[in-house]
Amino acid sequence: MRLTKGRENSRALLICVFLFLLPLACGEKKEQSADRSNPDDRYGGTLVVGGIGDVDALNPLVSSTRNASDVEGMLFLTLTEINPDLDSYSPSLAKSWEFSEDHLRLTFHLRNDVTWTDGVKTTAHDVKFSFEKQTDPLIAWSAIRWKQFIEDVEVVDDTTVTFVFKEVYPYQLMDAAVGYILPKHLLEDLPSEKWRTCDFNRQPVGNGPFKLKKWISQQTIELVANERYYAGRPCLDRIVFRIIPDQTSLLAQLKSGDVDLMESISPKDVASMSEDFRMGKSDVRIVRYPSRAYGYIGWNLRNPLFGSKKVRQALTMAIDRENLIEAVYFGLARLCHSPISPILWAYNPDMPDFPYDPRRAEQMLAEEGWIDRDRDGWLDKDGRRFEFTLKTNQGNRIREDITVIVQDQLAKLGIKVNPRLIEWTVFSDQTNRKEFEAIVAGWSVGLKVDLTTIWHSQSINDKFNYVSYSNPRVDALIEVAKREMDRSKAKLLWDEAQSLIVEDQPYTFLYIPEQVNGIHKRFRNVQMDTRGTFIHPEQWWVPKDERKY
Amino acid sequence: MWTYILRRIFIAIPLIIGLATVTFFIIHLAPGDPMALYRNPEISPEVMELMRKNLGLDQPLHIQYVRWLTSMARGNFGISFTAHRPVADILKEAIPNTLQLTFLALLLNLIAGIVIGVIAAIKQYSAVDHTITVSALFIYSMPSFWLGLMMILLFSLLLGWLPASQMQSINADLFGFWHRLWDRITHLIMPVFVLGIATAAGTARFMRGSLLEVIRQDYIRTARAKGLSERTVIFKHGLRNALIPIVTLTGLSIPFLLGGSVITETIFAWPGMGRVAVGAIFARDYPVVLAVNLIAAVMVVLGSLLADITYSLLDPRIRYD
Repeated sequence: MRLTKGRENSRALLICVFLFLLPLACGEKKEQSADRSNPDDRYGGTLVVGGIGDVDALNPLVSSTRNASDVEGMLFLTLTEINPDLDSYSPSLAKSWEFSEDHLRLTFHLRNDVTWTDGVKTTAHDVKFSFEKQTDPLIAWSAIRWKQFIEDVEVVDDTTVTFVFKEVYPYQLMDAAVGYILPKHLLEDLPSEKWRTCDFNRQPVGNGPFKLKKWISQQTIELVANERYYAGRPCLDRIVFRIIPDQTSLLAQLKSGDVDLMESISPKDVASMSEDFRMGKSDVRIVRYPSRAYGYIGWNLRNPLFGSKKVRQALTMAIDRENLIEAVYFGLARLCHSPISPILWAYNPDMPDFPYDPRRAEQMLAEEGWIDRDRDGWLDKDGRRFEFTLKTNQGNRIREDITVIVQDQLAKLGIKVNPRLIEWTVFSDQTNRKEFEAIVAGWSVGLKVDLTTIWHSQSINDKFNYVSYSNPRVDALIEVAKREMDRSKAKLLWDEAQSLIVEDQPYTFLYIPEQVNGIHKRFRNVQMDTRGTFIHPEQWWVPKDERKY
Repeated sequence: MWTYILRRIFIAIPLIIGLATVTFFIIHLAPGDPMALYRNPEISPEVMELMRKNLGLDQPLHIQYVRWLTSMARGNFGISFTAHRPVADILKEAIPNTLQLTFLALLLNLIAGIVIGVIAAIKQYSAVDHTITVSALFIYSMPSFWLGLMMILLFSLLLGWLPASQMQSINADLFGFWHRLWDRITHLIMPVFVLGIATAAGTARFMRGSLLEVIRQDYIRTARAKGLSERTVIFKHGLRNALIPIVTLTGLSIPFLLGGSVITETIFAWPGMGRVAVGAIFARDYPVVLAVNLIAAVMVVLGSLLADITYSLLDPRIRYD
């Protein structure tokens, strides 16, 4: 009896809570006109961001997860900021900059009103210190390569700092500006080998628009507005990152309003969510923009099966890539043609094309000697059947589906594909050791145009040229193009390099997906684009009447 | 008794070291590379090598083993590869969270399981018994991820009664004590139910079988013949004996108390040991995997020891000398 009564009590309590919350929930749905010029509207409100993984550290030189860089972007400043064209820069910590006549020295003039959250001024000494730590091999910063052509950083005075380069090349400004500036006064005494485990990683002191209030592992990271921020305090009071590791549960919470922002919504959910928003059934606005990633099938060129360029071209032509993308991405990706992303200036739109043409593919394979001689339904040559294993990482639904679709499409031509799904760390290890015949994988490309690490023959043994692609002409073009200061000349060189790679088809380039995020409609002035999800979050705001927290 | 306990603990030490050694070599020899997380065209292979060196992964396996064993002997679990902080700190955070969840789930399991099992046994072959049997089988067969998601959809998304995940609300820090307690209770209801109810269904089936076997014994017949009330017969003479197998079950659940539940913790975003363990296995975060395994080994040994001791309390015939 007591148990039943207890249950009734809690149920009654739940109903009370529900009734209490009802008016709040209804109030939220009201559309209010709001004007940011009204001071009441300008400051306040909380953004709740849901993510599936925790952050490893909040020290830009140590952290390696994408979530960490999202948070770090709100805590720290860089010297400059890249513009939406992904090619030019705006001032940030540096208010201006200029090159010397020989283009070997780049001088930044810093703002003098930027302070760390502990009140100490950010100066040129912090910039020099950050460079020294970024290039410290014991700290092993993941982007250390970007600083390889910088010889030294000289402090002229508190607000002037000069980067001295070893050579002249087009990306000097990008290389100098990459990386967040760290507080020298707090970190200078820390030995390099302690950087990975120091307290600063969990209690960072920054100079960005927000500061860390609380971080509970695997649960919450709470940032609050930095009152000392040089451009004035951010509009939002707080940004709370909640870690919800299950994608389905996270999506349910975005829909229920427990979470305001979710990144990377699965393509299959996007159409219905957009429709619900359009019909007024949902408050979640879908934001789409081109991502920096591309997907491909990589053919291991060390395998005799894929040794011939014609065979690789035929394989590409045997796969209906347009339909494949539609099937797995529901129209939220475009066909990829090139190793350089169309978001970058060096992309070449006029390249050799290998459209879906199974008949021509069959013909090309026959010309290479691949014919079904023994009438068993599979092509063969010199007694060997055209059969290979297509590996991908388990858990990536889209790639898993692709292996099955490719298996089906190539089977029609008499090519036997054995899909194999492998756990990520093992897949990555095997790919690195070149223990594969073909893989479905992807790259996320940087903003710097450079094909060295994936396509140069020097990158076969120890870098990311997993498929062992080697073309001396491409190597030569890369070497010249990455140093060519004349943009129009460089473009011609990159165009040729892309054409040669595409002609060789070491990859069957598949798709460039869109990044799809969902955000509650009450947030205004939200900027998201190829640069990232959180562009100037200090300018995002929410009208007073619509605030939830 | 104390000699027995000390002897058992003494025997357990080489067992635990052996288990830890086997785990060490299995995890290190399993395919997969802890550096896979860092692989990116922007990260140069030289940096990858430096990071490998920093983590001590460039050393031969036997050296890594000796280093690990000596640091373990000093009570140092090492530094997590992925979280860049001491494994002990990670465990210190995760263990209390998991204990809250698993202890309440175990309580639900035992109370609901025993009560339902006893009712089913007393009312054997009645409509009540059949209903309980069918419902128990139904609940037992439900995958917990499905049950969890259905509960979230119903109680959070549709009805809005309960929070969908995590341990506390966004503003919990600003609440008073009672409000915070209520907040925590509402966050616990769904995960505890999902975690406890399926095992309760199993316990109920077990309890029913065990009690039915006991009430057919001669001493129960004697008790009834003495003219004792049915309540006394069942609860004093029957239940005490029927509980012995349940004690074994509970003893074996002790490791689960600390191990947590991966699926429930993931779906409800509960920051416990299950998530720590699985995340570490997938990331090949060796120090964390080894520490979690060691704890599990210790708990299995302790659990079975605890069960053996409880036998002697429940059954006066059992004595350990």
